[in-house]
This record gives sequence, C-alpha cells and structure tokens, in this order.
Amino acid sequence: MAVHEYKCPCCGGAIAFDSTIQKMKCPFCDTEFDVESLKGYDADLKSEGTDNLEWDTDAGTQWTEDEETGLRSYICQSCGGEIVGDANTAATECPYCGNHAIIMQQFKGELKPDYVIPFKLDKEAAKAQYKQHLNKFLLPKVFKDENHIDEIKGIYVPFWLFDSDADADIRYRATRTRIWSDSSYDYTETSFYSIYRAGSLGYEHVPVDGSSRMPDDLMESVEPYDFSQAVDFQTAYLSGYFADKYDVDAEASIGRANERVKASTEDAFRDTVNGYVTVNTEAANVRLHNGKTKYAFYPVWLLNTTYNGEKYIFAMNGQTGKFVGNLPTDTGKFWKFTALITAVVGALIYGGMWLFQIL
Amino acid sequence: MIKRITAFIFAVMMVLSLTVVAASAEGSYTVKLDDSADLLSDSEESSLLSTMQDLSDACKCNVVFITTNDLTGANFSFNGTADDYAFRYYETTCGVNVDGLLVYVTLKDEGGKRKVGVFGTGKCEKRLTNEESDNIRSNAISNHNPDTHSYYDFLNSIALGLKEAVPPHLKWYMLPIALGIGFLIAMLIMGSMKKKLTTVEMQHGAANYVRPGSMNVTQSRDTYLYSTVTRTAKPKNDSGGSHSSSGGGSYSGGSSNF
Repeated sequence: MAVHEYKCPCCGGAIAFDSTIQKMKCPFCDTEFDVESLKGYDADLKSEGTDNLEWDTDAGTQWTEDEETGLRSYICQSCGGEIVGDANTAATECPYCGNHAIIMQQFKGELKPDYVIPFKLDKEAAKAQYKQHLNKFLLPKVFKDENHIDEIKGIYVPFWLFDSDADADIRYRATRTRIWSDSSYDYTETSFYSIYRAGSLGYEHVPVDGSSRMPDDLMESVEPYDFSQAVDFQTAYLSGYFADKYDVDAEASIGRANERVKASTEDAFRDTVNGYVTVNTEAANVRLHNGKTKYAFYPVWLLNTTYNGEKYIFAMNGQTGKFVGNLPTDTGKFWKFTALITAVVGALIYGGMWLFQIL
Repeated sequence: MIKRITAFIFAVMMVLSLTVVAASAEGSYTVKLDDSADLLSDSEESSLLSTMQDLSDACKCNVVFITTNDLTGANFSFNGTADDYAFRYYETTCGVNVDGLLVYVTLKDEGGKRKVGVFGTGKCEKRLTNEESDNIRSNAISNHNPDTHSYYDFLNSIALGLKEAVPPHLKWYMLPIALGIGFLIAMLIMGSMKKKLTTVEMQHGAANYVRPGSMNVTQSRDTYLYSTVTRTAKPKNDSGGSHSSSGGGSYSGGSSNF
C-alpha cells in the first residue's frame, strides 16, 4: 500500500507539522514551509498514483483470517522497514527510523475528510496540562509522585459533523403557588397551567466520534471544538501525528447526534418557560430537517499511564487544551478527612447549641 | 488544606470563647425575696435566699420570690389578677422583659384562693417551658404542700426544681444530631472533591453547537387550568411566651391554685 512522507526539499529529511508555528518544519535543517505552499506538492504526490509494493512472503506462519482482515503492513519509503498497522491506520510513524508516514489509501474517494482542525498545542503543552490535572487533593500521593506517562500521542480523531435545523413543539405542565395565613391556618393555593411552545433552532457541526477505538465519553469530554479554525483537509497536517480513518460510519453516528440535538432543543425551549415553581415536560416532539453531514479530523493528545495494574487514559483537546481523564481516589484520605470534618463541624454545631442556650 | 482547616477551627474557637466570656461577664443580677405574707422565719428566709442566689448564678438571671396575703396595697398598676400582680412587681423591680425567674405565692388571689405561680421572662422565657413550670408546681403541691410541710419546703422545692430545669442544658440526642449534620456537611465537601477526580462523561446535549441567532419561538401559550387550596392548622405554641403582662412583658410558665 502507498505510504506518504513529506521530505524536506533542502536536505531530504522527513518534515512534520509544527503546531507552535502552524507551519511544516524540518527538524534537521530547521527550514519552515507554509502549509498552503505544499498544496501543489501534495497534488503532485497524488498525481503520481499509488505504488503497489505489497510483499508476498512465504516465510513465517500464515496470517489468520482475523489478522488478515484486521492488519495492514506498509513499507517505509525512507528506510524500507515494514510498518504494521490496523485497517484504520491513516497516519503513523516508522518504528525503525521514526519518519512520519501517511497512508494515502485511507483518504481516497469518500474517505477523504472535508475538514481538519490543525493541532494548536504541542506535546509539551499536553505534559504541562497533565501535571496540572494531577493537582487534586484526593489523588493518591503515590500516583502523583510517580507521575510517569507510559505513552503520549497526538492523534487526529475522525469525527462526523452534523448540521441540522430542529423544529420543536413541546407541552409542559407547570404550577404556581400562593401562600397566606390567618390566625388559625396556613393556606397554599397551587395553580396548574398547560404551557405550549413551538419554534425552531439550528445546529452546526455537532461532532460525533467516528472511531470505535476512541472511548465515546472521553472524546465528548474534550469538547467543544472551535470549528471557525477548521481548514480544508490536507494530508500535510497529519505529518508528525497519528491518525485513524473512521470505522463507525455517518449512518451509525446519527443516533447520538439526534440524542444531543433533541436534549438541547428541549432545554432551549424549557428556558423560555419562566415564572413557575415547577415545570415538567408532558410531551416533546422534535423534527430535524436540512440535515448535512461532514467528515473531519479533530486533534487530540492521548496519554496513558498505569497505576495498581489499572490503565488510565487521559485526553487533551489539541486545539483548546481542555484536559480530561478520570483519576483514582485515595480512599483512606477520603474517610480520614470525612471523619475530621464531621468531628469539627459536629463540635461547632454542638457548641453553637450551647451558645444559643447561654445567650 | 490541613493548615487551612486548623486555622478555621482556631478562629471559630476564638470567637466562641470570646462570646462565652462576654456572656459570662455580664453584670450582677437581682436576687429578691419579698415575704410580705410573713410565711418564712428569718433563718428560712436566709436559707432560701442562699438557694435563690445559687439559682441566679446557675441561670445568669434575676430571681424574684414574692409572698403576699392578697393583691391589695400594690404601689403599681395591674389588671387585678394575681399573675399580673406578680408580673408588674417583677417589672417594677427589674424591668420589662429583663432575664429572670419569678415565683409568687398569694394566700388570696382574685378569686380568694391560694395560688402559686412560676414564670420565666427574657431569655428564661424560652428556657422555662410551660410544661416544666407545671411539673415544678405539681411536684411542690404534691410533695411539699405547706399544709403538711412548710412554706419554706414548698418554696425551696420550687427553687430547686427551677435550678434543675432552667440552666443551659442540652438533651442527650443533640450530640448525635450535631454529628449527623457534621457528617452530611463532610460528605458534601468530600463528595465535591471526589467529583473533581471524574472529568470523563458524555455530553448532555449540543448547546455549544447552536447556530447563533437561530432560536425562533413561533408559538407560546400559557393556559391556566385549575387551582387547589390546601389548609394546614397552625401549631399551637404551648412551650412558652403565652402570657403577657399589662406592662408589656412576656412570660412563660403558669400558675395554679392549691
């Protein structure tokens, strides 16, 4: 299969996208190139067609059927080493020479993303955010002190972006109360209302993770992304990072997009119902139209670490720096401080009761 | 964190200590025994005054005991009842709603009957409940009745009963309640800290992706359907503050003939 690497026109070294200067940069001779100026170069590369460099070896054992369908091997154009990836690998690096390789077949035809949000933050920023993320009171001290990261990778994650207009008609049951008293009784009057709201609301670029390998909750946790900084997709942006093509198609992602749009539409119309003590939704109908779908690559830094035999995955939005990842709890510390606060607050309240008696 | 908690506890303890010191350093209190009915001997008066002084020290309030033959000869105005006679006597002596305990025995009340009253005012109004006053009077009438004992025994038992009931005290279950509230607050604080360790969750909606200015409400109706009215009887306040004097004072407690 065809593997693409960007070579420095000056020294021939492998060049990569530098998120700090938002340009391609050669790490060997420090020459910088505008991404735009590489458009022609990229087009030339595509016009070259794809090489058929698949090897057919008789040595070794045969791939099993599962392996054959799940694995792909590519040849590094710099050193000739074999890069083994899975069926979705779109950009990776050669394990032998470290050159950045882009698998061009993963962007053919409908597989080509419409947009990409380039990385704005580099690996150092991800490490700094990770360190800050560990600054939590209940985090086990050992976890904080060891503070080692098994792996840190910049990945372009495939997302489906959904644009849609939502028409809604929603009925609520609401109450108002009025309270008054006379010398003998307290009175509460509860008035019931039927509330009806109808209208429309537009959504654009609602993202749904298109990779089954990325945990959905992790990917939604690093949101939001600022789509105004998205650019037309070019393979040059992938250089220096990892990327997967989608393996969950748009059709399969629609359900999640619908859930999110429906929830937000109901919330938005609920906010127009004011002046009531209670408001409960009785019926909600949301109809979507003018739906459009786009395919985009969004930047994510992924960090892995292991603690007590358990794997912890952290993610940072490569555009905004939002850092997420669940951390373990120091259970002993939790109960120790719960007991301490209980004793202190209990003593203060008991003292207050005495004070109330004395004064 | 520990330093902050320690500093907070220290600050609160200081405030509490200063408040308690200030409270305990309040001025001296009136202890008065007016035995106009001459029901006590000099030695009994002296002994009862000693008990009353102890009561005043324990309760940090004025203590006034009055005995009268009847309701005549007052140098203050009152509404003609024995209770108001005692209230106005106290108010003339110590002031209106000034912290204090008031006990009176009259041999002839407005109905010509012998009567005893035990009252609290000021901060003693909430400390002495009507029920406690009833119990103290019942105990004195049943077990120290002047017909079989002496007025000294009678009044002394009332003073001792007041000394047991009125000084600041907390019921045994207040400590578990205080610790229970403390535990709830601790769980709120520690729960919020624990929640900070969990940052991975699915998004609720897509509010970040609403097209600006696209919200358009085309129909909006609020229709009134019906109303219901519920009525709840107010709780009867029988724990104190149920008596008013003609001088504007407020008292807990009560009186009874015997």
